[in-house]
Amino acid sequence: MQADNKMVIEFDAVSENESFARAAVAAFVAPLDPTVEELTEIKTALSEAVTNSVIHGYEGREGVIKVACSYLGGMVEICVEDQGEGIENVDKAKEPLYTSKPEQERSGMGFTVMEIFMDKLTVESAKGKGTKVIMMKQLGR
Amino acid sequence: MGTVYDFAGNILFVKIDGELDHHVTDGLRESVDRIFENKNMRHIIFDFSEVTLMDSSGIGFVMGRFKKTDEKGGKTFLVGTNPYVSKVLNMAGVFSIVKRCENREEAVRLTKMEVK
Ligand SMILES: Nc1ncnc2c1ncn2[C@@H]1O[C@H](COP(=O)(O)OP(=O)(O)OP(=O)(O)O)[C@@H](O)[C@H]1O
Ligand SMILES: [Mg+2]
Repeated sequence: MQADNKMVIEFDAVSENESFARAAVAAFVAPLDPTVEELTEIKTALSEAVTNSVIHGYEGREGVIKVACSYLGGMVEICVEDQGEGIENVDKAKEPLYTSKPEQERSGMGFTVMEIFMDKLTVESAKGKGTKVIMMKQLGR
Repeated sequence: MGTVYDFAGNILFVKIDGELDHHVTDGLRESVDRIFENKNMRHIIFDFSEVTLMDSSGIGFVMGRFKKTDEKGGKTFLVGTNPYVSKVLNMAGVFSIVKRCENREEAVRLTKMEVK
């Protein structure tokens, strides 16, 4: 994608880095002067994707998560990628309330939150091949 | 900063601040459950007025504590959820099970009402 500005960060797949990823993306989009609502929605959606990579992608094992963010005009694109387990059935995974880990108090609402808080959600994944989540949001509506 | 715990009778008050995510809920779950069991509490009132952001980890966390109080015939209440936090909880229909209250006093009053 053509962009006015872009960044990439990579970090260990540990839960401490969920807040780091939110803060980094929030700082990166700050020049666009997002509203509190827009910023909270972006941070929450990002948090869902990064958390999924930690919990489901690597399941507590060592691994690296890559977050790429760019914007063109007011259009923000965020890509979260892991080299973990991957998802066998993406359509099923995206269903509200579907979770493969109910015993860990997961509610199966992560993808739904991403879909509602962002304008567009694309999930590329295959079993054993890792997962790539791409989200877009138009600011200043 | 940090979580503040408080007690009144069989009610446990938990005031949380900051961003409620997977990392934070993992730590909180353990301490809330330990205090709830050790002090033999029956109800939990969560004060979310200082929670700025919450992702779906918060849904599982709230529903999990609801189950703990329900097992003891008690209730779980939420106070002070901001619009973003409320929106996430609403997506999962949490408010049809866990009641949202205006303030702590209202929640305390509701714990005393033994409605089936
Ligand atoms: N990065 C990933 N790698 C492997 N599997 C994933 C990944 N992200 C999601 N999944 C699968 O998709 C399912 C649905 O994800 P979603 O985020 O909607 O719910 P959840 O993470 O299970 O629960 P919640 O997000 O509400 O805590 C997960 O249970 C998991 O099976
Ligand atoms: Mg999730």
